[in-house]
Amino acid sequence: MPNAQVFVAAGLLAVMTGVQPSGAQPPAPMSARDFVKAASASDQYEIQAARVAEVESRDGSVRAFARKMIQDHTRTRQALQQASLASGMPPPPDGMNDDGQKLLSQLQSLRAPDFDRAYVRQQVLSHQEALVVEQGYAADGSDPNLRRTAASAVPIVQHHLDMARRLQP
Amino acid sequence: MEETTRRQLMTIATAGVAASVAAPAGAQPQQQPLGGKQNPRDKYPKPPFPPQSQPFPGLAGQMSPRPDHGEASYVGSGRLRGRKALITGGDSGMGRAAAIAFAREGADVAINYLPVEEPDAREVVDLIRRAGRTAVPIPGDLRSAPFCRSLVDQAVRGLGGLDIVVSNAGRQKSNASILDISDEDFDWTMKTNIYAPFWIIKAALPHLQPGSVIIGTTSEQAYDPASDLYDYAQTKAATMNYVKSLAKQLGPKGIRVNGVAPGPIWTPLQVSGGATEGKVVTFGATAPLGRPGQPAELAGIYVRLAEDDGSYTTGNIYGAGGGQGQP
Repeated sequence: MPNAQVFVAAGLLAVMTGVQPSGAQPPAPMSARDFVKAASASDQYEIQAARVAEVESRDGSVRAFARKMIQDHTRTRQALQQASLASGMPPPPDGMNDDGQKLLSQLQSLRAPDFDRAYVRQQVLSHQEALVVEQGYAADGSDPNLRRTAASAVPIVQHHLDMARRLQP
Repeated sequence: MEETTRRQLMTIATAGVAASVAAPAGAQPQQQPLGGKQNPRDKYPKPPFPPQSQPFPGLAGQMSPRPDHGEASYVGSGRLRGRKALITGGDSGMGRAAAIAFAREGADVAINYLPVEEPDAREVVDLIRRAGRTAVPIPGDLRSAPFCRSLVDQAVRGLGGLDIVVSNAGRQKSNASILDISDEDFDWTMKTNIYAPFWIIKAALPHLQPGSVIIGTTSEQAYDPASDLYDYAQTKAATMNYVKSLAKQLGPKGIRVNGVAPGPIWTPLQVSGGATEGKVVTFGATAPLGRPGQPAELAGIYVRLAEDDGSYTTGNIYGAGGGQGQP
């Protein structure tokens, strides 16, 4: 059932960053490396999940949302890459983390209309989580390049979260 | 990028049948094993893949990109010299990779496939013969006990014996709900994936001398099934299980039985109903290596399980999952 799956997913996301998706408390300051890992994994999940949605969703507004996710998260991913290199760090890892893999795996087995429900729920949660990560690093992060990147990501992720919420019934 | 890697990628990227089926330079693979190492993440295409769909069973030749079965890369060294193999589903996917590898290792090979898969099968027969071995193509639908018995009979006659049976042909159809699976659909999957191996192994057994091997293609789905593969996944669990019981049964006869459990591999099964279109587009993205496997990457497993040098391995499942799943 998409409900149960996404609830579990929310729990997984919370465990991953040690933060509740409701964003009630600020996270402990992340190291630069952990921030890069978390942000790049999130971008990669967003892009892959959106690719599934482009093809599986039967809802025009969900597909339009998905196309925007690909555009925007491709850009945030590039910005993160540039910032890491500018700070003398290795390039961000290429893949998703465990949670992203599980979430994507769920999406890969669904068809509309269950697909759309699960995708939108995942998107609300994933963007809530991403917002906390970006806001947290923008406020407290140690590396100035990455802090700037996080700060410019915040309004983008907030906008995505608002869009995702509007897609929910 | 190393020459061979670039050549592999070009082979896959090329749309034309002739250009990709025959290895570059007149279908002669390189003469020495490659050795060395490459970053496995970069060896083969990564998602996203173009949305595509074919009617079941689908042709490798029509996939975009074309899968790599080892046509241009597999180099043998006599590991299966003098052996005689029957491979079901030998026209594409892992069966094809195994057929090419077996032939290049010195075995004569019979392949079974569905008649509509003739274009793929022709290429495999050609590659087996170019390796200097006997190829025995035996098209037909495995869902019939009489055909399975006839298949083994024809293979034994065409090869002059039999000592490797690779039960690899599979039917896979993704259905979001058990309610979407008709009686006919369920039967199709069970007959192809469970009954046919039963009939084929029974028919083959009288011909298998000690030292012979049976190999079943199972899947990571046997261990952690997807929600949309209720029927297919249980047949892979059954395969994994029969490998182990049969190994116990046939150990006293000196016949080894093993299984191969792939993760997401780029084969026609996936684009002909085996996966949702969304999964096809992002195929392999869930794997830690960031891409699906290619059949060529499993050829060596089938060789290993068939060759005499692996004589203590029986009742075992060898995996290739890109970092995800079991075993």
